[in-house]
Amino acid sequence: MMDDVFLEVAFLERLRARDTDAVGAVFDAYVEHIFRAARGAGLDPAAAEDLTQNVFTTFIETLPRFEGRSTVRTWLFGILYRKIKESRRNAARQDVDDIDVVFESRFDASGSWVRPPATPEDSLDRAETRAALADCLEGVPDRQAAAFRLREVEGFSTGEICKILEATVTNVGVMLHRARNRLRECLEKKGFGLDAGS
Amino acid sequence: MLGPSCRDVARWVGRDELSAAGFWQRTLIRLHLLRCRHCAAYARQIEALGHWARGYSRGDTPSPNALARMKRAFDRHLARLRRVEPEDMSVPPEST
Repeated sequence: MMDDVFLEVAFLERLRARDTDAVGAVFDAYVEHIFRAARGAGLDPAAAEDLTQNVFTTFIETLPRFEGRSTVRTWLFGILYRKIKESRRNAARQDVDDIDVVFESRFDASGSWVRPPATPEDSLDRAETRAALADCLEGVPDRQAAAFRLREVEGFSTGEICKILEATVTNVGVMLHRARNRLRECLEKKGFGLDAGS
Repeated sequence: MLGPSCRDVARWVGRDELSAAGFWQRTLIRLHLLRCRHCAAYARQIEALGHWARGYSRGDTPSPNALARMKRAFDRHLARLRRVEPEDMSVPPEST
């Protein structure tokens, strides 16, 4: 796995020295991942390309300070999401989210389901589902959507997501929970039958 | 009622916190998921959301021209920082 190679001490020394081959290998390994994540954050292809270039510019400028305490991939995604956060400074932080109220309404006082979920149908048209999911993702707040994509699309662990988004383990768990429930509720409203009896 | 409630289990699953739970907590949650079809359905839906997200994101790749542009910009910036000129600074024509 590329991340294992990129963590070797000799390789880190080459990175800090801005060795052309070493730095180029990192670019080749991750440029498409960063671009995909930028697109996933709602940027059009041109803006995603600009942001990706910006991320790698910052990466090579700050290389001498990279100590290898996280993986190169985690560090790159951290740069990406800090830049996205800077560009969206007005995004309000929500300690109480309306989706939490919706989630709680599915249970009675004893914690049992009053509106239970159904088994996802295998016969759902996949293109239609993906289009609906993309539409629903637009309605998920940025940090929740970021946590969801970092977990589900990029496969980062909770610890890595904490470093990338500068959040606590509890925050990351809550963001994932809210993003998933938002998506469930949105798909249900679009008629994808995620609730029993719908 | 012994063991976690459906709401508790749904929270554990939705927050991806199963791996952080203690041994007995994890055991009780897994037993609950085996016995409760509603919670099992919820867990499958959470997993399905991940599959759908991964399938959709596969289309978000840069075009070959965009990749080439980003690589050139990257090489130029690296060369400036290293104070070494890259071998070929010519810009190939964009293909249509």
